[in-house]
Amino acid sequence: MTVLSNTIHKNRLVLLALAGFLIVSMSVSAHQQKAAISTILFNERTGNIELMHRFILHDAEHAAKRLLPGAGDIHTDVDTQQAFVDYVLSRFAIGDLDKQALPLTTVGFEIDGRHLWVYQETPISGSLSGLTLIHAAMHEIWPKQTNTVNIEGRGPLQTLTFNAGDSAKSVKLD
Amino acid sequence: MKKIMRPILAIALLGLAIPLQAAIQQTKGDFEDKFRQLDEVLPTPNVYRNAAGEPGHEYWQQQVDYQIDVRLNEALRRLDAEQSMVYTNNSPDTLKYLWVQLDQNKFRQDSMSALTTTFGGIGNRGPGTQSASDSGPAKISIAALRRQQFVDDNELGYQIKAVEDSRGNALDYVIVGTLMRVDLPTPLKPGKSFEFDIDFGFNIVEEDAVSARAGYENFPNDAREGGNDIFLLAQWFPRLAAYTDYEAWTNKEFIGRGEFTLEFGNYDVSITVPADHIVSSTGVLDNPRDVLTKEQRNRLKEAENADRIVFIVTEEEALENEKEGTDELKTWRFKAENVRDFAWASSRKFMWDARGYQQGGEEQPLVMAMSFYPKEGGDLWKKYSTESVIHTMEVYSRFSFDYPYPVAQSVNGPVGGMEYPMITFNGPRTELRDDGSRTYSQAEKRFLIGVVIHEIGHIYFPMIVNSDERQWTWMDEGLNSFLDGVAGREWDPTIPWGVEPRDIVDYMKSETQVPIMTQSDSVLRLGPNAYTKPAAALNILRETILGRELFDFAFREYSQRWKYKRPTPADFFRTMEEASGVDLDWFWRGWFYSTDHVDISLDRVYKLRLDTEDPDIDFARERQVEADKPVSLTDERNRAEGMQLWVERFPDITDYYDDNDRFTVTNKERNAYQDYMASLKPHERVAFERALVEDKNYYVLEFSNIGGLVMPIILELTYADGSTDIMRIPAEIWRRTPKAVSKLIITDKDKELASVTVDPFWETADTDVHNNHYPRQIIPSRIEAYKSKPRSGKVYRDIMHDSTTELKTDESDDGTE
Repeated sequence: MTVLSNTIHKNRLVLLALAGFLIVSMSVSAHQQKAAISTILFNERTGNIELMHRFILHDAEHAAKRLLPGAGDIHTDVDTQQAFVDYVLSRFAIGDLDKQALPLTTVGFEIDGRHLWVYQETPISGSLSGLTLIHAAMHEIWPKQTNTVNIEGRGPLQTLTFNAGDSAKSVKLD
Repeated sequence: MKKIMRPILAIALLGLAIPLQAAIQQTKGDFEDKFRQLDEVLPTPNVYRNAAGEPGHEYWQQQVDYQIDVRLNEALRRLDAEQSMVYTNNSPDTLKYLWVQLDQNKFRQDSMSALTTTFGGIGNRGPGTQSASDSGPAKISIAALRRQQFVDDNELGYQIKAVEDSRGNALDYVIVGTLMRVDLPTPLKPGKSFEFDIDFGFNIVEEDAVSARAGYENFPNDAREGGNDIFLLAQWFPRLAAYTDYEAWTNKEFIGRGEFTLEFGNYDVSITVPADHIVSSTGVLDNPRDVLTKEQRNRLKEAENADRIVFIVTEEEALENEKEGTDELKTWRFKAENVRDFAWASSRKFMWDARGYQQGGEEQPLVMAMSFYPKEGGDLWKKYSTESVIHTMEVYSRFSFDYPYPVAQSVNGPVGGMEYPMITFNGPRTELRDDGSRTYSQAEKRFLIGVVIHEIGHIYFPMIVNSDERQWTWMDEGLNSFLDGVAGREWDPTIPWGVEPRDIVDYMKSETQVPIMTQSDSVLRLGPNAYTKPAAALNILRETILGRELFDFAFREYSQRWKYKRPTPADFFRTMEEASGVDLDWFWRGWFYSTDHVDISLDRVYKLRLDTEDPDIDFARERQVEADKPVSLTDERNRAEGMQLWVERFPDITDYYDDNDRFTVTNKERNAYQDYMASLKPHERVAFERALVEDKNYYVLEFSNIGGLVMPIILELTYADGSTDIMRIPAEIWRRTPKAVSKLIITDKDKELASVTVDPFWETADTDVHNNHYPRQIIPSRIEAYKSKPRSGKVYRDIMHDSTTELKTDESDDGTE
């Protein structure tokens, strides 16, 4: 049985190692946002909880250069794209209120305009009374990185925002 | 005792009951006046800032002129300088002391910035840490260790060597974090000036190590032993804090995020650097004969009227120059008039290109657009940096005023993007490939063009329209992001520039946000709060609410009113309203003072038909309506079973009602109709009869406002014949019932309404498009849409690099032949 806290623990073990591959330090500039936003949608039509993670492509490009040893151009190199997606998904976890991880399927990823989207899904379980989440992508390289998650389609919209150093957070569902 | 107790008690009670409430409150019912005028929220107009949002007739601001001799010690990576300042008190107040900003002290171990950086905390500039949790130990990143070690190994912050008046008498001063109070020997009266000197030095931070807005970057792989540095110098000298009519001394500690609040003045700065360095600086080079070759001066002259960039220092010359250093020194002297800050860059790695921008006009007909970059900038910089500088001036000047300074520069260094008067630091670079060539992705190209536009745009806002960055990030970043989007689309609209209303909906509907009107250091989620949301709001104001003519006039008016002056948010809100002639208080309230979002739902549409009052017509219509209803299921099944009805079995037993239904008209109704028509006044009769002839369709549309933010309702009406109409209903429709409204729409008889869409062009940032359609439509989620279409990302390939890929032959493919 996969327990959410284990997943997170495993991810954190790699934190220091990843940050070590620091080649160039992109300074915090006057125009960059360092903000990712995700939607977790209970889609009754498909019977799935749909997870749609949006990253600013340019942030992803520079994060990939810092985090992924030997990273190529994220816009051309499918392996780099996949490695970045694997990385951000390793920094994201979702479970129920008892921190039992939900079985996620990765649907795919795409570039749309200035954003990189990553998609996951899992069947809606009738007994789900709440969610426990963590979204720590890029926090180890950019302390000002803010990751926001909107949970929609089950009661009023709820929002969780993850800043660097945050632990998992929970929401109750109607 | 009583006098003291009462106010404290009152404040405590108020604080408990109704925190942050306005003075005027709706205390019955739940009506919320979304259109309440902002008067009670905005500061009271006065002689310094009037009710129109203009500088008042007694407007004043201080002036500070600087004369600085500064030396760069390349080996020690250190600056030492002697600085003289003339402070002119234009305020009506007498000043006993002056506050000076010592921003380099932010990097001291005991600074408020360092002491209040929370471990694993939020929103810090610089390398990361992560606190312990139940699921893992605490973490500190390599980058955070590097920063700490750099701070340990290098004494950072200012070394203040002397603070003296112009006769050499020491002045008393007290350093408070990043600020220094200098006590004046005699109070400085209105209209008087005070001249004093500060001698100082400091060790320059390594930008990569501490994440600053300036610093040095080392290139260890250069041919020269030890490599070469690029030095970017900003916040490098003690700058006078601003003294304003709205806040007096703006002595708010520099913690890192809130940028700068500064005074205008004239600068005369002599910069001594290694003789083989090229210096780019705020201001105009005053001694070109001392530091440039004749050839370089000729090239500069040639660039003034050139169609394309001219190299003052070519790539070959820069490559040759960076191979070895020198012990010789040169002094570059720059003079700048009417600037609020002064920054410069120096390196032997720089190539230097220039092209004159002949903008015409009286103030500054010629502006020299120039770029400075190492070989690492490469072709990307040669092609696009200076051209982006010129494009920015062309577009921004249309929205504000002619670019008023003699130079506009873009310098490549370790800073991602930062702005100063006449000079900007921009980060994009090329990638070195194995074959020694340099290429760049399309995204890096977009980044370069985008960041140069953005940072050069900042020379207008806030370097000239001098808003208070430490208080209000949105006033420069929001306005500038809006305008860089305009300029970007005029460069190439196929590039996604990203201030479209649709980009902000996920942020707008989220619950962890603060109003745009929040002090910079306290803002949560700075990017969407201070850049994207205000930029999207202004875009909506221009394209949807006011239209271009009114918006552009008002925005230009704001820019010109506050050119070289210090506007506050109220001045912007008031000017936009005054100059456009449109009440926008609801818009500022909704977008800038609240966290409401836009979600307008079209809940129901129903059709009405005008009764003719003529019983022969109306009764027949009602009969038809009845006949159109579905037959009773029971009747239908009885018939299907072959059941014979009573009336069929006894056809001989009938009466009047078998031939006349309840819709049969009698003369009683006809007489009533004639009486009614006779009772109409002539004008009523004309209107009524015309309406009958036209027999239009009457539709009632019922809307609800789920998001709370009042906005215009934009409708696409689609008719049964396939034609469409666009209807724009001003936001004021919500003024009396902000939660729900109904709207009557009348169409010609042959224009039967088939469907209605709210916000068909996605121009209002409506967060939920599901409820925008009537009848409702199934709108696939992003994942559903993704699954249903084939994907490709062709725009994002680095074709420049990929095109060098060798074609694989059969031989090399399987290696068997």
